[in-house]
Amino acid sequence: MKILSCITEKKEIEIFKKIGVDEIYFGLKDIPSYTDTGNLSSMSEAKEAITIAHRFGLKAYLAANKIDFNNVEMKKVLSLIGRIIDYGIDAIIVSNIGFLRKLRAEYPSIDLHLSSVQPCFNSESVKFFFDNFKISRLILPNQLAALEAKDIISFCKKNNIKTEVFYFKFFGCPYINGYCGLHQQNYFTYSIDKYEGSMCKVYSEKSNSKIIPFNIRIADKGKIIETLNKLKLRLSIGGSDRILNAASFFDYCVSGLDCIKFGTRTDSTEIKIRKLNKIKEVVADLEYLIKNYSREEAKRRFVELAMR
Amino acid sequence: MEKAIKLNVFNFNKLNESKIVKDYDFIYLGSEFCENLLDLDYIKPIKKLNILGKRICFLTPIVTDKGIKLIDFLLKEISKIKFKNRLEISVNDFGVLNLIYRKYKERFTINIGRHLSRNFFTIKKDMIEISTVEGINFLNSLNIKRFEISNFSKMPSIDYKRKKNKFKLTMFYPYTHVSTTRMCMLGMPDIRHEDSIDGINCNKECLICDYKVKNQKIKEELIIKGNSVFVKYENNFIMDRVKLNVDRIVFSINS
Repeated sequence: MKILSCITEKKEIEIFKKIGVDEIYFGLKDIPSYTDTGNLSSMSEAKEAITIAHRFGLKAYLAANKIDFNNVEMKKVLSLIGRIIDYGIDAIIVSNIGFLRKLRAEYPSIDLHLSSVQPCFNSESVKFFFDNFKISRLILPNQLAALEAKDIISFCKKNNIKTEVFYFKFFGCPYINGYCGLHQQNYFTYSIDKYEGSMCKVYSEKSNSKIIPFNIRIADKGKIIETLNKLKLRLSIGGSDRILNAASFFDYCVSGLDCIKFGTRTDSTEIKIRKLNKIKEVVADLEYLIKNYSREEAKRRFVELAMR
Repeated sequence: MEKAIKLNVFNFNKLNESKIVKDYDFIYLGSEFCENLLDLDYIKPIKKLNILGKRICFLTPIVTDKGIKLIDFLLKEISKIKFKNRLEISVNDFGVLNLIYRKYKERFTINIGRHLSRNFFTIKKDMIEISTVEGINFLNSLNIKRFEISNFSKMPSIDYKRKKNKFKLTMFYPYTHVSTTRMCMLGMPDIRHEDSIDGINCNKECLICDYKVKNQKIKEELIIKGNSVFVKYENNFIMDRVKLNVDRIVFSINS
């Protein structure tokens, strides 16, 4: 199983290679992606990053996965992407339908990876993106359990689409990625001028929040209080228990997943190194356990190790 | 301007049918955001409304393969109905779109639901613009022209790049959709690290009531309805809908 990591500085490529990373990806200023943080700042820097990655035998991908691309951005980006392809980029990570269509039309031979920002929760959806845009890799959403993704993985295997999942401990927004409006004031209005946080943890102790049941359709007081308490807790810690937990991650890995992804571009190099070392360790544990124990026992031991 | 009402199977049974028939041109039925609220019980009200001559739009959410199979079965059954008016289906998942386009495109009209519309429009509480014309062209090539959006806080700024003829908008009122999760804040059971789940086995806690969150950080109240978060903008009903290209309004009782 391969390990794919984000990079935010060229120097990280060699360091990550030594840890055991097989592939890298980066964002680039002027090319809209899911986050503006940690992008390489120029085309020449991107060119160098691709050259260095290839020198170390690593594949290099470009994130261009903003969901609501606009037309002005698209025209500009298409010509930049042409140059990046000339520099030897191995694939583009994409989410927007119009952009996928345009890229496929203009650059028919470039590999396109479907971002988890355009999440596929069923095999029919993967079929849609494969038939229409010939995607060569699918990044699975972390809101889908491995057992729910069986048909997706099987469709991907049959059609030679590689699959990728985020390492479960370092990625975990519960809301549908790319479509969540809780992070900016696009749909509501901050009352505090400088507040730029997200509403995911709206019920923290200091927040003075109140949660009130309303539109009561079934007068089940006990159930309402029980749900209210659950909601208070979940809105204080940023969501419910994650579907992609240690057990589900194990299931993904034994189901024929091709790649584990680490993508926290906001982390410093030091933190990235620590996390990548952890992922490498986890993969080694996993391989050892699968080789030496029954599937059930390997899973039990894996969960124990991963959560230590 | 077409007037529609959004109902689920539970409030449909409680509302007076003759009033619905009289007051609204269109009935929106189904589950817009949650796979677990989609079930075979929708066949009966669809049949009933068809007999009454109502125009119907069937709402579908994001689904896993389990939901794709259920929708396929539902549509197979619904296909047997001889509709007085062509049935519309709102899709919020490209897999559902693909399924309908592959198997049922002769029978039903596909609309793009509020969740997927964000692929084609950049939408905020006070602005809307076409994201990529290329995306809309692609859907037009599949004969899809109607997109669903939420209500705005006020008349929004608009940038349609003179492509208004390529689409029509349906606006839901008064709840503005903010976010959706599969890991529902209300119904998701606790999961231990060692649990491999194969679906969200909730007890449909969302049917009991909704919750509003009052918070000092934002001016509006967040409204939590099942697996989705909304805000309510209801004092803005008079908008230039022609300019907005909205020709249908859907009143939502719940969300």
